[in-house]
Amino acid sequence: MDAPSTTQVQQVREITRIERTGAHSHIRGLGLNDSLEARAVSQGMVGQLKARRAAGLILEMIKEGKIAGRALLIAGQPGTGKTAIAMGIAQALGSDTPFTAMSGSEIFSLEMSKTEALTQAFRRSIGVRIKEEAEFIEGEVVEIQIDRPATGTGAKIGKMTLKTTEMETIYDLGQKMIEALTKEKVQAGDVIAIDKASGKISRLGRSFTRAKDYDAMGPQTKFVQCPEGELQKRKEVVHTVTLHEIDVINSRSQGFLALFSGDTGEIKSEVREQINDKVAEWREEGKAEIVPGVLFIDEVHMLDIECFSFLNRALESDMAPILIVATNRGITKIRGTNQQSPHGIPIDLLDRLLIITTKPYELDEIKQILKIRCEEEDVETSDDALNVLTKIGKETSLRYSIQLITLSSIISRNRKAREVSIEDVKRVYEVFLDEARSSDNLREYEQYFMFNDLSNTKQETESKMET
Amino acid sequence: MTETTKSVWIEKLKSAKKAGLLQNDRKKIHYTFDDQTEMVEEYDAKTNLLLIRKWRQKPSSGLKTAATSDSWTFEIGQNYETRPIADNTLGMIESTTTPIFSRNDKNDCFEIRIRNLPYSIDTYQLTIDKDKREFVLRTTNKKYFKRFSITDLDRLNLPLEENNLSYSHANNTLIITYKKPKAILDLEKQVHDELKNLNMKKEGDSDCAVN
Repeated sequence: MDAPSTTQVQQVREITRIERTGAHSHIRGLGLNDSLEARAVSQGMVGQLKARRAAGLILEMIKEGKIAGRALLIAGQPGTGKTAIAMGIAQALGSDTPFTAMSGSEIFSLEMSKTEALTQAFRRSIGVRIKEEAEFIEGEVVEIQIDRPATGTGAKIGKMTLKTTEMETIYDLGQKMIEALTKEKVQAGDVIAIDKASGKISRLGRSFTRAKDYDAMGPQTKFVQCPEGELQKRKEVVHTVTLHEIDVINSRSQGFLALFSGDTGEIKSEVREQINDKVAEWREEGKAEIVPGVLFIDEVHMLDIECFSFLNRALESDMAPILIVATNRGITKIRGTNQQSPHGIPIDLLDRLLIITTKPYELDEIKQILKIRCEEEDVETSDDALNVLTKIGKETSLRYSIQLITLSSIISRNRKAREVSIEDVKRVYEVFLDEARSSDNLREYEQYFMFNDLSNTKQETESKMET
Repeated sequence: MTETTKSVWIEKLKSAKKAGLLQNDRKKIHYTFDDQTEMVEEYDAKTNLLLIRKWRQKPSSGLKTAATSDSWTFEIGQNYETRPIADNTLGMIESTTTPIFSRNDKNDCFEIRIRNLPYSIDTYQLTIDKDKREFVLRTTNKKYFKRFSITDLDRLNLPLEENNLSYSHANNTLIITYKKPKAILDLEKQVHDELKNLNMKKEGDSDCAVN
C-alpha cells in the first residue's frame, strides 16, 4: 500500500541574463585612441578608418552636450558598417546618454501620425537628470525583535538595533516597517540601507563578521563591510528620465501605465509646452540638467517629403538631440514626390547634414571581422576554413559569410569535431544560396516559378486562344 | 577676512523681512530671506541670551526635495512639541533611549548637550577635524558617534581651536563647551543693536509688525 513518494527536488534556477548574439553585439565602441585616430582593429570595429575618425569627432561634440541640432549622414554600400558605426557611438556614449535607434519605416504607424512619431522619437533622445539629496539610514542589523501582542489582535510592535563601526542605535518599529522587514527577510548580520523618504529597504549584503555563522549559504550571498561613521547619511541620488517619459506621465491620468504598455497615442502640444516650461524652470533653479542624446534613424530613405520638412524645422529648436541617419541608396526618388535626389533625401536637408561615407571592405579586413564574429558566436574555426570564408565574403557578401559561421559550427558539432573545417563550410555553401547564385538560379528556371513574367504571358495567350 | 564674512551675515539679516514678538519673557524674531528660507530666533528678554534658532525652507515650485519640509530644523535649542506618529511615513523612529543632541548656548561659550548618555566620562573622545571644520565625538565602547559643526563659527570662517574646547559629564548628560571667540561676541553685539531698532510687538497685539 506504500505509494512511492516521489520527492521532487525543486531546481532553483539562477536567473542569469541569457544574451542572444545579434548582428552587432560584438561592437563595444568606436575603437579610437586618445587623439581620435581609429585603430585598425579595436573594440569590435575593423577598418573604415576615415568614417570612424569622423564619428569620433561627432562623439566629442555629443559629449560636450552644448551644441544642439547637428545632424550626421552615414552613406555607403550595403554591408559596409554603417549601422555598426552607429552602434559604436551608442556604446561609447554609455548608458548615461539617451540613444534612440529606429528604422525609417517605423514612422509609419496606424496609431499615430508621422510627425507625432518623429516628435516622440526626438523627445525620447533628450534626457533630464534630476539630482536629489536623500537621507539614508545605513547599518548592520545587530538584532530584530518583533512581538505579537498578547491579546492576539492588534498591531505588532518591534525593536531593531542597527550599528556601524562607530555607533549603534535602537529603533522602535511601526507596523509598516515590520511588514517591510519581514518581506525582505532581514536577519541579524545583514547590512541594510533604508531610504528615509520612501521607506524602501535595500539589502546590501551580509557583514563579513558574520561570514562564519553558517557553513552553507545560498549562491547569491554577498559579503560587505560594516558601514562606517554615522547611521544617518545624506547621499545624492540621480534620476535620469527622458522628456518623452515626462510627456507620457503627464498626458493623462494613470499616465505612467502607458509607459509600460507602449500605447501612448498622440500627446497634445499644450502638454508638451507645459513640460518645456517646467523643465526650463527646474534648469534655472539648478534642480535638473538637460542631457541631449542621439537619435539614430536607419534606412532614412524610407521617410517621405513631409517627414523631411518636419526634420528641417525640428533640428532648429535648441532642445534638439544630435541626429544620425544612415542610408545605402544612391540617387533615387524622394518618397512622396517624383523628384530624384542623392540618397533619397531633399537637398535642403542634405545641406544641414555632415556626410561621411563608408567603403567596401578589403580582404584582410573581412578576415578580421569574421574572426571577431567567430569569437562572439563562440565558434572555433581552422585557418583554412577562415580563409575560405573570407574568400566567400569578398566574392559574395560579408553578411552571407557571417551567417555561414554559425551554420557550419552546427554541422561540425554534428560530426563531433571541435572546430569548423573546410568541408563544413563547403557543405553549408552548397546548401544555402547567396544572392548572386539565387538570381542565376532564377534566370535559369524562372518559367517554373509562379507569377513570373514568362509564364504569365504564356497563360494569357493560351486563354485568348481558348475563347 | 572675517570682517567681510561677518558683514555677509549681517547684510543677510538686514535684508531679510523681520517680524518681532514679545511673548513669555522671550523676544521672538521671525526672518524671511530672499530665497524663501525662514529663520526664527528666540532671545531671553532679560539676559538677551539666544535660546532658540530654527530654520525652515518652504518648497517653492512644488518639487519636494529633502531640504524642504513643513517642520523646523533646530540649530540651537530643542523642539518641545510632540510630533504625531501619523506623520511618520518611515514607520521607524529612534527609541526613547537614544541620546538626544542639542545646542544650548551661554553668553560666553557655545554649549552642546547630549542627553541619555549613561557611560562614564572616560569613554568619550572628542577631537577636531580641521579639514572638514567638524568636531568628532567617539566612544570607546562604540555606542555613540557624532560629527557636528557649530554654524556660527562656520559663518565667520573662524579656525577651530582645541584650547577653547572642553567637556564634562553629569546626570547621564555629556556637556561640551566651546568658548566664544571675540569675533563672535562682536557679531552678537552688532545683531543686538540691529534688533533694538526693530519694533517689538507685545503679546496680545493684533498683528505682527513687518519691517
